[in-house]
Amino acid sequence: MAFGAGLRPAGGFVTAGVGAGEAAASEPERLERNKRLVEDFLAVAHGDLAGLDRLGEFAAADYIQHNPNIGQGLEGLRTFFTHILSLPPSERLDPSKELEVHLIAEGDFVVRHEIREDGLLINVFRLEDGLVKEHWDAFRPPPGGTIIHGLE
Amino acid sequence: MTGDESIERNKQVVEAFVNDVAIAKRLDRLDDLVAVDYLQHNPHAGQGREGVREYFAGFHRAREKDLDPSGTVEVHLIGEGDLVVRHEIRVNGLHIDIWRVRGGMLQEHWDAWRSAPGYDPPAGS
Repeated sequence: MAFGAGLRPAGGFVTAGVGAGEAAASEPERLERNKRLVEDFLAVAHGDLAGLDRLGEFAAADYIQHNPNIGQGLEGLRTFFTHILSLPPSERLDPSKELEVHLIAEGDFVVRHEIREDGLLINVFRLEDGLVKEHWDAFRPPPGGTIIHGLE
Repeated sequence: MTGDESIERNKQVVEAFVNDVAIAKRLDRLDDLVAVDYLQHNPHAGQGREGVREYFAGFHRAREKDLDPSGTVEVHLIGEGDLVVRHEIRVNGLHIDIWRVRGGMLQEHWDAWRSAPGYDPPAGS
């Protein structure tokens, strides 16, 4: 689930998910909040090393990871994104190659559909109690293309 | 039709395509389910409804074993707007399809595969 740095939320202020005591939202509002949680989570994950301390605002401690390159739980995420942030740009997803992103949300799921010049990246997140709880991903390289590090 | 009703309808179109065409190989159902100018983003399949027809009539048979329903563990359909995601967890990997559905017909398709550790990707995946 490696990304470039082109995922800053437009507003600039990154907030965590719905907290206890908030008024019940309509379903469309709840789905929009879920999408924002995923976007904010990814902005932090692909931001800077200091920001990785905030991962726990977005992801559960016992986060379930189905990408075999990434360890389990919050600690697995921290280790992975620390590693990604240390890589030279040539070994990371190039943000300028991102063409189109769709977020598709229903129930407890948010799917991120990223169409790129160098392939297709699909991330599926399951949310629970206002945090990202489980993650799957798959990548289709372009014809004749190679798999980008971390997406094997 | 409300938003929820149209998402349910879109999911039904996807399920009908998967069950009737992909699994049962009832190619006669293509005219009802797939737009003639279906936009295909899987490079191993041709364009349009005819590309789907050829794919399931011939080439697809080579990877039937790898995508047989007996290997399906869990399927989630996730729909919003005119997009439906089919998230299939299998014993040999993860298969994610995304369709754009309009007017009760499949219009556009993307997919990606992640092999489970130790499995090779199916041919044409």
